[in-house]
Amino acid sequence: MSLQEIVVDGEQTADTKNALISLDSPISLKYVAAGRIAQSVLSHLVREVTEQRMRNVYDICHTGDSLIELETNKVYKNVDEKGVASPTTLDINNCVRGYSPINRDSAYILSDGDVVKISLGVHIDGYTSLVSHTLIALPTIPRTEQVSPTTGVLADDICATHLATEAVISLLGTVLYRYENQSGYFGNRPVNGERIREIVESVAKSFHVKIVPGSSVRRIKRFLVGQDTVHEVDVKGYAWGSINIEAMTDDPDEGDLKKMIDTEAPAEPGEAWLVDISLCTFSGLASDLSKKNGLQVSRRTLKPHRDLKPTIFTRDYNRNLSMKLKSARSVLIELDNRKSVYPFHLNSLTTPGAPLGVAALVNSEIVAPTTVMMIQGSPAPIAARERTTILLMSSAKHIGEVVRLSGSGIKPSWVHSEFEVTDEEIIELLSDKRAGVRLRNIQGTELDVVKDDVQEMEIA
Amino acid sequence: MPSKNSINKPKLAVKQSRKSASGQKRASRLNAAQAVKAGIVKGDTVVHGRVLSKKQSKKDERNRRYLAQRGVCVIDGELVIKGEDDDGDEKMSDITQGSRTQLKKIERQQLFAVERQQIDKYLTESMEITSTGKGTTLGGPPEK
Repeated sequence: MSLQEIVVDGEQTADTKNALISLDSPISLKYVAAGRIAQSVLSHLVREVTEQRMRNVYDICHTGDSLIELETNKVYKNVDEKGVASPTTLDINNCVRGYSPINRDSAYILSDGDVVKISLGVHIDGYTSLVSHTLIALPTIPRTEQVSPTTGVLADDICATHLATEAVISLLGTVLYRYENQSGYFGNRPVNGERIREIVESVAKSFHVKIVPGSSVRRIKRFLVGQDTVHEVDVKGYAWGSINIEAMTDDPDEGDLKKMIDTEAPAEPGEAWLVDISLCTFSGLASDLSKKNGLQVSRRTLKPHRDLKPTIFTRDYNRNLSMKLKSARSVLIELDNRKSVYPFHLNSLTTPGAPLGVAALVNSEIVAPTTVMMIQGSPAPIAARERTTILLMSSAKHIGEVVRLSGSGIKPSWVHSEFEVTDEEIIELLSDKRAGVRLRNIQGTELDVVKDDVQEMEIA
Repeated sequence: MPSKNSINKPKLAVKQSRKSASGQKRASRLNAAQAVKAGIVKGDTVVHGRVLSKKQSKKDERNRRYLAQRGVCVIDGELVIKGEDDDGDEKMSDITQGSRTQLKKIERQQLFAVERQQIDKYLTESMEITSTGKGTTLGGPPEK
């Protein structure tokens, strides 16, 4: 390595954007560490579900959060802010967001054939890796004796979600190798939010499924991964409406995130992107899909759960009020000392009387709840969700590569759909060569889970 | 309106002498082309035809002195380490004699090399994706 190269590397490390030029930079290392932990915990939970070791949703969510805490404590000892970036949630069947029960007795017990969406997130020093995966839990016949794949609308949904995610990852990856020649173009058009929207909507149309509001493909930055309470500027990508009940509208051109997201700005090398795609089955006519907003689930069908209360909250740092209630004041102190801009689970608070305090804080809008959202319909629609974090790693020497931090390496459930992708461009993106994009997957490690560890976390 | 015959007004001769003195000073400084030739600045960084400022020429002078102290000289606008070999280690050892920030950079890189090895354990290259045929199939039959 020549002197000049060292100097160049040193200068660029200071800049967050350009720091993703190689895997050796400290920022990339933190991203990778977060991705590895997220991937390891997800793989562990998937095994627990498929091998029927755990059926109670509370157990699974609790194990997930405890493992994230344990694993993050082992790395980067000098970093204070690290841990859960998104509490583990298990959204089952027509539930789309936010189910993580508060106690064991009232929690849902998984039954045969449930569609389970496991979501979690890890951050180290604000560098975040979020992941979601959909699987069919406990098939009615033992897995080893399964002779044919699952078919029907459920299979369409899972296929579409998987393929849309993979296609978007490849599309974003094309900005790397074509960057020097064509300035981030794929097929003579820039890779931006609008392009991403076309790809996802084309896949959804091919498989006759609808897009759930709250889905988004966007650039993420340190600490900023699309929390409801954070007002961001300079957001790139595309968002299909908002899942937040207050911000949700039926008009696809409206919504909070829509207003501030720049759909024209092209993706660039050296950025981190979050791909969060959620699609749901659709029992209406195929012609309905071609109407305005036909591809998106409407507000009438997406509703908060009638009985389940929110258990996940996010601190809104824009609001500060002095609270009358003692428990609210002590919760606020704990949040300021131990929590960050990321969502937290009610169970993770140690203050006595935390639920009461949090309720008071919600009333004065200092913390925002994550409502448990359900899609209603007859027959009940089923939603699938895939979420992954990628780094568009440009390289000084070679062509760049996409580093997929999480969400790879887990075999999807065995499903067969009668539909297929017809768009030529998407087929190229989904082919084995992935339109020439180099992809690196971060693999999880086998976690040594000792039962005592998990229980210890519970007491603490 | 001030009088043109003000006693405080400098005389023409004084003005001219000052002008010529500053002209000489400017001429004594390196101009852009000379600076490129001397290898103080890289050719492509000078895109204008302006004369180097006094501040910049002082900076360049100083940088050249520092580089010389570190055993690095400038040949044709490129930084070359004295006694350089084809062997990369030799270069590194030369640099380690340099400034404290350079040392820190090298230390950090050595640290990353170790962490990088650990990362490589978890990295695999895979391009697997289920392609379409008659309909689409994901996953596969469970392994027995």
